[in-house]
Amino acid sequence: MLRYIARRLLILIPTLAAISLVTFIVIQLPPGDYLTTRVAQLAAQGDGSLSAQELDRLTARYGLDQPVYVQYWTWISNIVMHGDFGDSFVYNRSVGALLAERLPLTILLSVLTLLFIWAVSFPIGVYSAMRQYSAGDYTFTFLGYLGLAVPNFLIALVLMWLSLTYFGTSVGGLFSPEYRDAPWSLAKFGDLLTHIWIPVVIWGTAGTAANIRVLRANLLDELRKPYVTAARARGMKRGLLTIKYPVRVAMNPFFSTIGWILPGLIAADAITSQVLNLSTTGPLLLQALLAQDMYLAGSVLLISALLVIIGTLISDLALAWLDPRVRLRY
Amino acid sequence: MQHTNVGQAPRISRRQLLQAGGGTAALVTLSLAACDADGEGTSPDGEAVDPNRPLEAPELTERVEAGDLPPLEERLPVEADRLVVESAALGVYGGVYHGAVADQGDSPWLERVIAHEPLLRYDPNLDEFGLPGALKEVTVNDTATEFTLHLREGMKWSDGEPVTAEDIMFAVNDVFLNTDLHGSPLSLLLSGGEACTAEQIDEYTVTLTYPHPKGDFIEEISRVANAVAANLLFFPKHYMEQFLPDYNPDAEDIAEEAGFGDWTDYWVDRRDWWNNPERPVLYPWIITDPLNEGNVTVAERNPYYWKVDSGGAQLPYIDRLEFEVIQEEEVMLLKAVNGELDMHSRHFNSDANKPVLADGRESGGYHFVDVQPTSMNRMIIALNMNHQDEELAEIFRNKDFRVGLSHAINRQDIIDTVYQRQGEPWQAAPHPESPFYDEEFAKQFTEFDLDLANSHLDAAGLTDKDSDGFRLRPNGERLRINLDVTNLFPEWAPASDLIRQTWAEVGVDMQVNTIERSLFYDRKTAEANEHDANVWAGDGGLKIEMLEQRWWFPSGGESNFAMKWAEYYSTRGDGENAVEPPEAPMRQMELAWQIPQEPDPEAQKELFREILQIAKEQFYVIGIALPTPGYAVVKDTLQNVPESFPDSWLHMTPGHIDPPIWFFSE
Repeated sequence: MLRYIARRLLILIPTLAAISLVTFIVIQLPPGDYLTTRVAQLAAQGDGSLSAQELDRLTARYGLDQPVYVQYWTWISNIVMHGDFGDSFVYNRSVGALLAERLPLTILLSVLTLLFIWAVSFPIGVYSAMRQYSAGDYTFTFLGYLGLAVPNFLIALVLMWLSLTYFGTSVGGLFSPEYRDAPWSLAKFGDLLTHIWIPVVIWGTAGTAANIRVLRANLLDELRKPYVTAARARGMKRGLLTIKYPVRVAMNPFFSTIGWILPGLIAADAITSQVLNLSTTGPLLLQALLAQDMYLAGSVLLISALLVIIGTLISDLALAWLDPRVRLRY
Repeated sequence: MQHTNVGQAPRISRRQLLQAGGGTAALVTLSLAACDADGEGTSPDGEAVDPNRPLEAPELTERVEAGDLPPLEERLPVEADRLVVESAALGVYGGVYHGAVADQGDSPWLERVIAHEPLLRYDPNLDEFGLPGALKEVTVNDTATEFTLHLREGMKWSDGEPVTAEDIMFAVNDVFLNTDLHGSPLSLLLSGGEACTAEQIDEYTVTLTYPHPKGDFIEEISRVANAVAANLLFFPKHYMEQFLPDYNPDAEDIAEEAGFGDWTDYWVDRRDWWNNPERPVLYPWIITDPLNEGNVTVAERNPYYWKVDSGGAQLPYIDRLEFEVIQEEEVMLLKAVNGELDMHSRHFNSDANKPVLADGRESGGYHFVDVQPTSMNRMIIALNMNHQDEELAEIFRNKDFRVGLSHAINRQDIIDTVYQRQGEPWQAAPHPESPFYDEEFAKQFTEFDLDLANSHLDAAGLTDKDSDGFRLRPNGERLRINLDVTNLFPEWAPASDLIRQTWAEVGVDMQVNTIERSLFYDRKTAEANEHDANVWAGDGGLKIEMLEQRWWFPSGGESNFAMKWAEYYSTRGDGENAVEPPEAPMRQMELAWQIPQEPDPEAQKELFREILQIAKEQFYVIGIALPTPGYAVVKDTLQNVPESFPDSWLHMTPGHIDPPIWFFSE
């Protein structure tokens, strides 16, 4: 097991290097760079354009006239040697500081969303499997699919419109205006709780549907296996039996998807965040990509990739722990 | 710090004035008759002025009493040098302005609201320039070569340091003529291609001497396109000098310590006041929470602000400005409908959103004010006369071809279906309210007539057609035009599609190419020059006719119909991609070069009329429709915002309508 982990960690290094290279190239691929975007933005907002000299000066200043590999090497060597992710052109601040400002809330939101998904989908999935084709099964399935089918940003817009029309509440953001920049306090935390459920529910709806279906399908397979019939025949109570054996097996997908959830912690749901005006890393990434703010975008994508790899590792370990059959192969 | 909710801002009626003493506030209702007898004067709307009216904000009085701040008299310029701002009503102190800003790229909105402090000023309606601004006055010699700038005695930066001639000398010599910071000097400091020299006369006087006449000097310093334009009172020397190696040998080290590549990086970062709360400014409000941190950008009252109202009270009236950082326009729209924005005229104020906003006026407690466009067209189609395919370029340069295409556009149909029936057919010609208005120019070739269009296209030599009925180029290929359209204005794409249909009827195969805006910019540069044709708005044409020249002749990076000729103009033929234009545009360029050297404004206008006349004959681009007035949402409690004002980026609207005189009442 230890050797397995060590090997996985070693593979991580070249993988990350390859990912960082690809990421950087992808960000560089579209024509133009941060400066052309900036010029277009200024013109779009009717604020004139930079002079040709100013442009040349900025190009030289940001090193945008250097070949891509030079730019890449500068970037990656600073990260590896100094932990310096570079500066964001758009914000004129270090990428590290920007991420530090937004990561805590992003992670909090994502963890809450994950818990929400599990809390809702687990009982419903078990119920649906055990009462297959019942009215309840159909109702939950329908709601689940609805959540999966309707785009998150649309639900967000509708919820915001409703809360505005019927409750007249201020829309967007995670805090009321008076708490926005206040230091942390119990009151601020309470205020956060009154706002945070909206994105959690919105994000949760999609994930819930998928989990319900997977759990239901797996559990249905398990419930019909001979060991279940045998145990029932020996007089074991149905509820206890189901929870103890088939459900445990059917839970594999919960663990195997941890790997996908971790990167979600940082990338969040960019579009929903944008619509809800949440200060998570999602809109930051979106903004960075639109503006071709390559150090910022590259860093977020790189960290996301790192989290996918770590997440997959954790998934494998968790699965190995949960399911001896997986473990035995190594 | 006091945070106030939307709708809970201290509301005081206009007839009541807030009087503060010892930290307690009392409301005093005035009797109209009482003051007249004392000869205490009246406010602009005829109401009597309270002799006990506070002349500074209560919070500042408190700070003076606590000894943190010098008294008002010492903070303002000497009495004769104070700038008195006339307003519809005398205001009361207090309140928080709530606004929105769309992240970093939107810093110009902060500049527009907070930072409109040109050396001299335009009037709010943008008709008259050369009015006193940050400078008391500017005197000019007869030949318009020597300009004497008179500063206001006793004027202070927001940190209390005096504003002196040194600051102007610093801006000219160490900033704008510094080749490390500005590759070539800005046009303000040039005449006939040569730089001026600055001489300090005394503490409050500087003389600029130009080698050639500089006829547009007064006009140019009467506006600020944005903060980095050549505003000679933008750099507080005592603060900014520490970032220049000429003054501070450690400048490079400081920059590195702060995590910047070199000192020019750090200079720019420290210069941008919306990201740097430490930087002294001359603005009514000082940034306390910068734009690049957190979710709200906050600016607070500048205790040293140098303007007063007609009652002698220090401006601004509003205590504090809060701009929530909102990236999504739909969210801004919802906030506006909910009455959470006090004054906004950007991003979401489109024709399509007007019904929604109109519906929310009563519940949201806001109203509309007219925003007069300074542009003359909703969309302009520019055919690339410098196309790299010489044969295509030649077709595009043929006036008959362009006239034919213009007649093959059903403008009224576009106005009816795309623009909510707002506007009228219009070419790229001055606005009807402009003194340069020429009906013939505006209406030429706007008639929708396919027969006429066909005969012009035939006259252009495009008589051969393929089996699908599309016209062929001389080389036998079908004539195809890709029209680049960005998604900036959502109306452009559907309007272009209507044009595509009617052009097809006269045998011109046009395809609408909807692209992202940075790609749009990439394709149209003089260097790339990859576009066949594209669509942009009709900037200029009212109030700023002579300043915004992009559609009158190839004059710069926004003249999409001939970028290489435009580069010839902007670089005087030196540019890498510059191509010498034919006779007519060349003549326009010579006239345009002549204008700034002409001291007499009337003579300048004559030269400009000739430029317009040539533009009319040449018919470079195809216009569609005259824009109708836009609108801004203004909270009902916000006073002193005019019912109608012109909108122009050259003047940083709403800067010229004086945000410092806005105030809240019931």
